[in-house]
Amino acid sequence: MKKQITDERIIQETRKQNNLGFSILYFGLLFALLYRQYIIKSPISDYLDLAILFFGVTFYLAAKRVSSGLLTNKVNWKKLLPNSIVAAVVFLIINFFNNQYGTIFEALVSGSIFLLLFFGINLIMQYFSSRKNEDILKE
Amino acid sequence: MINRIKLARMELELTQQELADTVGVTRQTIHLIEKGSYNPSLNLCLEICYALNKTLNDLFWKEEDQS
Repeated sequence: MKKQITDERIIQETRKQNNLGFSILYFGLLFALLYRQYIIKSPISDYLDLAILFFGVTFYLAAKRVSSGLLTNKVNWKKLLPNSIVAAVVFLIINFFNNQYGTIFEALVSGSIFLLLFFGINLIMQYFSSRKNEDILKE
Repeated sequence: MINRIKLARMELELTQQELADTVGVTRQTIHLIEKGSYNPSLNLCLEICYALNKTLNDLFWKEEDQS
């Protein structure tokens, strides 16, 4: 009899189920945080542990995507700019409804800083991801 | 992906379980492959070919290739 190999179909199916389970957990955690923050308006100390867990996982996933070159093959700032603007608008709307701004000037400054940071961080991530892809080709 | 695994298996008078034991997978996996419900990896395709004394071309192809 040949050497036993682990059934690939079972491994694949198990992985798919684990992936779906993780997605449900991840987005469930996000909705739980949003609910605590915006619906019942709990103080952050009440759910800090969940927030740390959620952001920790998010940063891990982002870092792995970038370091493995899976995020993108090449830097595309033309696509990133409208995405950043939309993100900044959403950020402003949410903060507006939470009465975070005293004046329009404050809102503009806050929105501009968010836009620059969002755009800049994504650009840096795209750069490192594309560089990793170039390194793979050189191996 | 389409395959002729069932025909090739029957030529050698092997059951699904026997083929599964030979290549190291479950009987259900062989059944699903024969039915076309599961696409095996290249590694498993080769194991099946060796077990049935066939080549990849003999056992596996895609519909577009028939024309």
